[in-house]
Amino acid sequence: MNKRRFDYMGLLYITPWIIGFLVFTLYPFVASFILSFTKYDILSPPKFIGFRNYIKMFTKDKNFANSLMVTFKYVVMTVPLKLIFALLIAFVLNFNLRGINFFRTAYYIPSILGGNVAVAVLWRFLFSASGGLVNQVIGLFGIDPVNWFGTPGPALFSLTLLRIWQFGSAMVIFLAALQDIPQDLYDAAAVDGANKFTVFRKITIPLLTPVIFFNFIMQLIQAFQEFNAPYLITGGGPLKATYLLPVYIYDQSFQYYNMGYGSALSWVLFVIIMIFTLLVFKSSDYWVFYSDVGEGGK
Amino acid sequence: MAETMNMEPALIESRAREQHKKLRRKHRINAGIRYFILILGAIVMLYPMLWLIGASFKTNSEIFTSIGIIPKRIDFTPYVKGWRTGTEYSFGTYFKNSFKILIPKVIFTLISCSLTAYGFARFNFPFKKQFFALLISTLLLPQVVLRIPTYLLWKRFKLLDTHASLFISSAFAVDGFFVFMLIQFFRGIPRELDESAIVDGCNSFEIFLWILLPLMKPALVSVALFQFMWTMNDFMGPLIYISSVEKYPVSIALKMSIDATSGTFEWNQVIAMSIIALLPSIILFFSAQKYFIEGIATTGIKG
Amino acid sequence: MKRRISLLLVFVLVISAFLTACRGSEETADKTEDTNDKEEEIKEEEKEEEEKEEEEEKEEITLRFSWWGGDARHEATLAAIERYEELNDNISIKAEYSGWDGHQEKITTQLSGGTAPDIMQINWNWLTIFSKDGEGFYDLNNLSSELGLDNFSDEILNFGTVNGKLNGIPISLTGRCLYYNKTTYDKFGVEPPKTWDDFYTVAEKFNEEGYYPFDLDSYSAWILAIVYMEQQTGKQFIDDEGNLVFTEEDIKGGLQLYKDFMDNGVIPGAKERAGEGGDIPLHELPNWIEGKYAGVFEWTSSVGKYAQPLEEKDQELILGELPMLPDAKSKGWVVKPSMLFAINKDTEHPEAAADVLNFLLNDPEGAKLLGTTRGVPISKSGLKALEEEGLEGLEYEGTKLVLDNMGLGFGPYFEHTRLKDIYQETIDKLGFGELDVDAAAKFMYESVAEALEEILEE
Repeated sequence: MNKRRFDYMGLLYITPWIIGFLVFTLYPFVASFILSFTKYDILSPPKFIGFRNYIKMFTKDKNFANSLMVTFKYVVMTVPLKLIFALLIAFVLNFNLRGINFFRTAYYIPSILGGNVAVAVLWRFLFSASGGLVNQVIGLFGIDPVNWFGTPGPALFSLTLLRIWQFGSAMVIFLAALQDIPQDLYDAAAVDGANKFTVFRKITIPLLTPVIFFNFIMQLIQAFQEFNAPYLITGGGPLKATYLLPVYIYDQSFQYYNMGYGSALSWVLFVIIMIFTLLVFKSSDYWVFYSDVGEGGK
Repeated sequence: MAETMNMEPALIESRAREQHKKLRRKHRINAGIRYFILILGAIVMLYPMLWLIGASFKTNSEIFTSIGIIPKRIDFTPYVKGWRTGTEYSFGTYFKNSFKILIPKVIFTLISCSLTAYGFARFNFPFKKQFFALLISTLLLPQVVLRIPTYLLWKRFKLLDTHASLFISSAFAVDGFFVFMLIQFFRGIPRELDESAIVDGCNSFEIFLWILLPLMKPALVSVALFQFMWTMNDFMGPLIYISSVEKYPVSIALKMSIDATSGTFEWNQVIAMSIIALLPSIILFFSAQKYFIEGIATTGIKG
Repeated sequence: MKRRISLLLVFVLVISAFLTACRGSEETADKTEDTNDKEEEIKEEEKEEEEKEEEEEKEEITLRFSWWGGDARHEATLAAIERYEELNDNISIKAEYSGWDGHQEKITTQLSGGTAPDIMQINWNWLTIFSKDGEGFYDLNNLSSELGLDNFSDEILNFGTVNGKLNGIPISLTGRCLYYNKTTYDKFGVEPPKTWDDFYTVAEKFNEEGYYPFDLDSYSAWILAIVYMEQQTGKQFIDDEGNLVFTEEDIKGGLQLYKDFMDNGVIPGAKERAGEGGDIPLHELPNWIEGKYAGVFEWTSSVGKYAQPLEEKDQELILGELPMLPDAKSKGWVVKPSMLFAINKDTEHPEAAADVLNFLLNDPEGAKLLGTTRGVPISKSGLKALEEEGLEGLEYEGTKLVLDNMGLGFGPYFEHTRLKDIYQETIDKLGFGELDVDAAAKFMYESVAEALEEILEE
């Protein structure tokens, strides 16, 4: 990599963010970090207790261990499936068919429905053990009905399915990136007589990598912070099989009023996400291609 | 080749026509398959929406027992009553409030995030890596533990119970998600474009404004759409920062009649209003489609 | 030309953004300084107080009043407020209301930020959270005449008293009752259960066709269990001070009841129940609406939600009897305040706030305007006003029935969310067969003891 001179104009452009960070973001972050070393019930002043929250978490707290495991499982299931699905649909919707606007909107609607008041009711219709739509459909293939909400594994998977169904944001970003690929490149490839698959492999995918990378990171972060789906649909059950860490953090903070402990849990989650994010960032040198560094951007 | 030469012109023509027909048929079958899959998928995606619309005409017991779309009767009372609400204000007020938050927030986000992203994507400045790491870090902590400190912050700014508390920070690119996203899109644009513009005598801001932003249209439209929808759905933020009912946005108003501790309510009214609340997002998404197409087609890439 | 203008526009926007930004940062600089300085904070508050006092001189008082609820409660309360403002033109009341969802977080944040409303509708278990020592809310004993406290018996006021300080006035009482789907019971030609043993005989008849005498979610299951055990032992599960009174053996007895109910088809099994709807409440389940789960053990204040969908389907929900062991040592059934009114401990206008509450609770006009939107009033004069207009219905009858069968009560700590989660976890583990009754009892005993210790220690 050639080191370019510093260009201080860059600092000027990011000034809004620097100010925003100092004014709006820094204080709550620092506060929650400090609170993680205290016993704080929100209403009386926090009491400093050193590392006790962290020690308790790793030595005594069975809920934490369980929630951590569940969260990992959820992330591992959700992130790849959702990314692949979103990418696939983006390709399908990238054609210039008549009425494509309608289809794009239709495919985005589940994401708009997101937190609708009736999502939980809908999900019950789909996954209820007796007569749920999903069981009826898999019954057509001769599969025995599954007790989705009453069995730990399937219950967690039903949340994954909810999130996959709401693939819209990732899809839109892919779509925007697909639209950003200059037509010249395709034209040039056509002149060279490249076949469709080669074009896809050599042009489309490399040019999409910055956005695949972005979506990967963001889906990872969002999956680790998933709260609404378990909160609305399974309530963390059965047997805490969908008790994701963010739900536990919420319970500790605003239900049990152990804000200090909740903060400590949050910072542990922070570090975990950080590690995963860093790993993905490190890996990006090998597979993300940026047009702005020119040829051989690997 | 030789064969063709020996053939009568009419025959050649008819063969070509036949081949053309075949090709067209193949195309048509292809398109047919594509449409078939698209429509099948669309049904799966749209069914919940259609169910919601049906549910807005059903009674509570019908809503909870029937997965069918068609209600027993069509009667718009739920819409009328739902719009009126059990509060001092109608949904008109709540929509107005939502837009008072949404419009500045979306505009602020677009300006501040694109500037910041441009800075990160195109310039090499001291501590850039560290700044970027901080930017990403802000996304990693669960919001729930930031709630109280953030509340105290707004209290100190004396901005509690104002709409401003819900959009001001967007003027300062606090949404790392959007900044990161735009950075990725900026980085997808070859630097040769900037360099040739510099040769033409453009300064960095002009490059940003006239060369890069037009190319980013699809990305910017996505940012605007996301921010619009997410803000429209945001419930906890307004609930905590806003205490006057007259300033509530739609997201809170939708849940005003739901009391999980006791009391009954008509689900059809709530669902009816939630459909109305979805409309702006759906319309916006639909009408923004043309910008997705426009992105490249109209601007082209010229040095 | 066009380009130039828009360029200019963007520039102005950016610059103005920078300018406001600078102001913003100065402000934080100030603020961060005084975060460390509590004294300044207090001074600031005093300034605010002074400002408010100036307002008072104009004799214009504005009170903030917050509650959660549904449409009926909103409409009734707004009407009552309007009437009060007509009667007292120097007082205006700012209504800050919302649905239940998120309301507790909102109040928590406000209390922690010192911005809570003057008058608050609170949940009973909030007292153990927001006012462990009785200092969290205004001591209403100091306002007894303004509030018309003679309308409330000591027993009732005791519910709202922490550490000798009256933190909240109970608005209404709610009790746990058994309600049955009469239509289903009629179909089988069976009477709803009257004794603990009746459940099993009814179950035998119901189960053949996939029906159940009633349904218990895991939290309700534990409440029923402690009622049963209180009748057996005459002991409170957790006393009013937060001590665990039950022994592991007592807990085991309660869990055994749940297990027996499940094994004998008195209630649907935990797995089946979860499979139907995850965390969806019973009254939204087809099995309830279609009469297959033919009863519920619920708070009387919530019964409306269960009755309404049944009425839509031409079925009838009726109040059942409360089973009693033949040699019961305590009647055992539980009652609690459904909600209370509290006054902010930092309010500028305690007397005015008390006067508003007096109007809402005790004044016949106010009580009539509110009706039963917060349950059947417990205030003597409020209740009298409503009884004159005639009171009836599942909620009213139910609450009366429980009041006649009241046991020792389950104390304010019973409903602490952390404990609730432990009950639910235990019942679920037992229900899913992950623990047997012995292990579940041990688990619950230890978890509850530990949690109580931590809750009280704070």
